[in-house]
Amino acid sequence: MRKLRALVVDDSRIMRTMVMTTLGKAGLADFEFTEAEDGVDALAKFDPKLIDIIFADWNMPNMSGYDFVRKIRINKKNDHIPVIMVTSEKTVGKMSDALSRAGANAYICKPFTVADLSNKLAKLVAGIPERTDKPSGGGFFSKLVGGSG
Amino acid sequence: MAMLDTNSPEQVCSAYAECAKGATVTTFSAIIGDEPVYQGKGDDARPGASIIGIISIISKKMVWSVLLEFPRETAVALAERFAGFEIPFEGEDMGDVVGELANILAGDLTSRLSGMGIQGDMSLPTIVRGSGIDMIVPEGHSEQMSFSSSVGAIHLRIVSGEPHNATCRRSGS
Repeated sequence: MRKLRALVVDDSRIMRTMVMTTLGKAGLADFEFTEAEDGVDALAKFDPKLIDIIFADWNMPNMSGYDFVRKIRINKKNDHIPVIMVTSEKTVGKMSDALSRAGANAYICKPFTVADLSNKLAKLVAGIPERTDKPSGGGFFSKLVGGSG
Repeated sequence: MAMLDTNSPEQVCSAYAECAKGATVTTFSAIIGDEPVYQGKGDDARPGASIIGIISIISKKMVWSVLLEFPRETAVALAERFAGFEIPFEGEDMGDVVGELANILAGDLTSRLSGMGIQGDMSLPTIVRGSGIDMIVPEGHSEQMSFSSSVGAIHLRIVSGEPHNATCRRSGS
């Protein structure tokens, strides 16, 4: 099973545990998790070189999941990282906002089952590019002459 | 769902009560596996320890608040059903679970109100421990509901009031 690094963002420790446990049961990948307790914490921990997929709650203190997703989508280099909202917000307007305005790729309503996650994530997970784990260009010489690294 | 005359306080309060009942049944049916049954107003006196999740839906004209109360036995049974593992009543994790349950209920309620033309934003939940706790809103309307379920009693108090009386914490703040 391929290994994927997931960022799980929710102000509820129990909810983060439930997301991680349910993903484990879904068997879509062998996940390694980084947890964040709000949007500010998630921004600090987010590194596009180290995260393959993000699961974000909406309503959190300090910075909402919606605003966190909007911020990371400003950089087009993050477009390849799927973002799944995992939230109790169920209105059509909110779902539409998350998907079309914030840039989330999928939306899962709480409470959710293993089947809910599997059905929503199977294609998204399959579409995540394999990492080479090599730095893309750059390196010492590139930095010396002012190239990107 | 029929659009509501939002200028009629009686219609609005009645609709809110029906939405709250529906949201409670839907939310806890999904978690427990069977439908909670509405028991009417229930007793004002509810002895013994309980834990309460308080959450609000803030619209332009009104703030709709829900106090979701579980007696100790219900809280413990429900938390285990929801999380999949045992959670002690006294611990912080129990507050976490009750907050999430209030969150899920409010999400369903917000969706129902939206279907009636009332748009609102959910607050963050607040957790309180105690018994017989009541939320007093100046010039507000309040209604008590009780439900029985296979995991125990579930009590709901719904309160509506003016936005300037809201004391809830908004998402992102």
